[in-house]
Amino acid sequence: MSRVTQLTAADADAMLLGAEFFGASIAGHHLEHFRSWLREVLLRRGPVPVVPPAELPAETQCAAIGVAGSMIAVVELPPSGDEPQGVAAALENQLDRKLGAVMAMNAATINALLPVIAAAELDLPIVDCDGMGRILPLISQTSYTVAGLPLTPMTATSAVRDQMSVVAEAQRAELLVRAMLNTAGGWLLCGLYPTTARQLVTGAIEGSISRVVRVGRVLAAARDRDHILRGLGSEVGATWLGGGQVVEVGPSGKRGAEPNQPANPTTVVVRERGSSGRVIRIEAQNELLLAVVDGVLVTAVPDLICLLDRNGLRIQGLERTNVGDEVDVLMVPAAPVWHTPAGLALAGPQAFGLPVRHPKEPVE
Amino acid sequence: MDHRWPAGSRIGVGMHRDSVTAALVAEGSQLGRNDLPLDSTWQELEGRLAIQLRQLGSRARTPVESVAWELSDLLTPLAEASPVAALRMLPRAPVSDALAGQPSPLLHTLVGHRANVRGGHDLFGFELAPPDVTGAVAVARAAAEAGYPALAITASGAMGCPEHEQLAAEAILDAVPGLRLCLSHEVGGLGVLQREAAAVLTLALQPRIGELIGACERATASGAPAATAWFVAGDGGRLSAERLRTFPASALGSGGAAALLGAAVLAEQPDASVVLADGDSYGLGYVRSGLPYASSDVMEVDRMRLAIPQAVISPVAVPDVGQAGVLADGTGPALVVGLRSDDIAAARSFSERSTSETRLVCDADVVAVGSAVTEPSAWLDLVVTADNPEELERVRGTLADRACTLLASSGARPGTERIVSSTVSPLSFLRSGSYRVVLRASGSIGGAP
Repeated sequence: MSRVTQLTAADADAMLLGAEFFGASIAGHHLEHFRSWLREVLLRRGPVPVVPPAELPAETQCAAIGVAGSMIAVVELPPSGDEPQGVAAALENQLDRKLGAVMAMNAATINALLPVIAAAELDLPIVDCDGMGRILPLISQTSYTVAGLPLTPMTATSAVRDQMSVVAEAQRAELLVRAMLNTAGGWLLCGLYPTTARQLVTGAIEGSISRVVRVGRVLAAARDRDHILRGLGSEVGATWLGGGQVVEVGPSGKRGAEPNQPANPTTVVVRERGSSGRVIRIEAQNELLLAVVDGVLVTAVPDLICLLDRNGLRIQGLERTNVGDEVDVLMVPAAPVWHTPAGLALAGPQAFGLPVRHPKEPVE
Repeated sequence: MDHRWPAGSRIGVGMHRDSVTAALVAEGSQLGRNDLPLDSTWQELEGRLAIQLRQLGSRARTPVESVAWELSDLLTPLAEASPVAALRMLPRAPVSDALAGQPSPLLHTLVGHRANVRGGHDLFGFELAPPDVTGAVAVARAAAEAGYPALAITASGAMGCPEHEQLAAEAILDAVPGLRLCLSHEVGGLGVLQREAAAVLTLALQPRIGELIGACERATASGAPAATAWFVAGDGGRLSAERLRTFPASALGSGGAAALLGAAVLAEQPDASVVLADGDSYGLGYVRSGLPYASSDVMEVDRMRLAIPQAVISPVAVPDVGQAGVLADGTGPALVVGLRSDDIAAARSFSERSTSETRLVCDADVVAVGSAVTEPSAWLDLVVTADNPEELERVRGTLADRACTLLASSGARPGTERIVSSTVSPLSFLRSGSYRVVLRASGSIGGAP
């Protein structure tokens, strides 16, 4: 796969589309102002180098930048524009060390864009990696955690300019951030996972920023549905699971809310047309967690399940999915780290309270 | 198939750029139609419109109960609307130029004067910063002094708690009487920029729509004295003259919504998928139980999504083999229509090339026919919290009552209100028990549908 070596203002459109794809569960929030912001920063500050972890000096101080919280909250309470560099500066103060590069917590939705903005404002490179390869609901559900990298010290800032620092174990930090979100307006921009480039060589999902841009270019150039499906197949190994009309969207009646997960469980049912008439049932809670076709589990988190709006040719998020919509259901395999026993323990179906094994999980 | 189209005699009027078409419809049948060129001054046109209505009314078996005007073509180009001022109330002012304004060049142009003051709530109505009412008044004074007659006020979290917008408005109206205001919570929807865009368009279109509505009301009073003048909304509902004067952006996109309905009426298919030929492009929409399939926030103006309900019409390519699955709605053939009379050839071409079963509807002005059968509608789009399913049902019930009250105030006849869609979506990455509730209510102006 081709590697992107720098990001310029001309990449803003592709960044936004690719970021929306990997944020499949919450796609569809209109983020035009983030595109404008990214473009403005890249025009003003110049291109941002995109560097693989192994090509940085080994002891380069790196940290992830990313939002924890809700996209609807971000849309209702937009950032002011100085949060990315502000949170990075606060983390530098806490670490008493300058950052040498910025990385993504997860290169998806606005969390693919904000690290680029931070890197541009701080005149730093962005590391071509992330910790999820998609969105996962918890800030501790990362390859960084799988690799044993500490989540804290972390800093966070809100839209009100509340500033917070947390030093805690990953699971405690998660709970503290969730508690703070409720009074901070629904989102916090975090600087977290301070580490070195050496650690990222093995602890990160490499190539994530390049992948966002490549997928975005596929979507930007798409003329029709077949073009999109073929492009996503070749760029990220996307598989078409089926497609048809959404016939049910509602609370999942089969399980209770997992107490450590925000939001509520939901079921989406897609019925195919034609003689096959297959039924695709998707279980969701924040994320699209698993897909069952005619009663057979075909894929599950941490693999990425996406709904492609057949008419609008855009990825359609869970919150925008309604009965009657025409969609294709796609699956993108997760990064290899997520199919390891440690990865599946952290982000597999059972981490979401689903009593099933991932199809790739070996039977004991 | 137990849907019944309105029984009374109604006239729908499609105001196209260069022509006006009126259709008389009763019980789902077109009883008459006539056309006028739109080539004279409004004063002359009013008289000719009145004659047109009178001629159509003479063919009705019962007195014409309403005349519904579809005006969306005459609201564009939006760039010619009157510039206004905009005030945001946020906990912190934007420091980035890109975040301070609107990303859409059109909306950027329409906001001639912009400022921020402190204030705002979160999604759930918790105050994040006290409102700077003094600052808001200063902004309003400056806007008025700079020659802007209208100010859009948008506070974060206003759908959860409109208090800051209201406090600012009260103080501004005391200090700068005569300044037209639009408060974002009045237009509704989620998203500060989205609501601001809708509020700006609302104010920018008011001068132009006022003249149009006046002409339509006078023509109705003269040509169909027993009828009330109504106006088609973008979701395929209808609005009173008073409501459209206040919220003119509600009429954007109403031509497409009326065309969907018109196609369904003419094909006698209250459930149908409809392909609209519009210039050199095609759009696909749906009619379900006699109402256009619509959503509360799909309207896009210059790539900016607005929190204004609109019929969902998605772009669709000229048909090929891969298109077959897209058109079929499972409820019959896809209907293919031209949005205007000069689009009929394109509609025919689509129908002939489609590999899906399609039915061409080309014997009438679908916009005028659809306008006639529109009914009042009301929407609510809110974030709510509920700790358990029972509480959620209670909240939903309360909101349904509120939607029906809104509908009654929009002119629906008491007893005809019904909730036609109610979606409850759990909100991702917020605390458990956070939901977005979108309700659509519809009623009838002429008794039980």
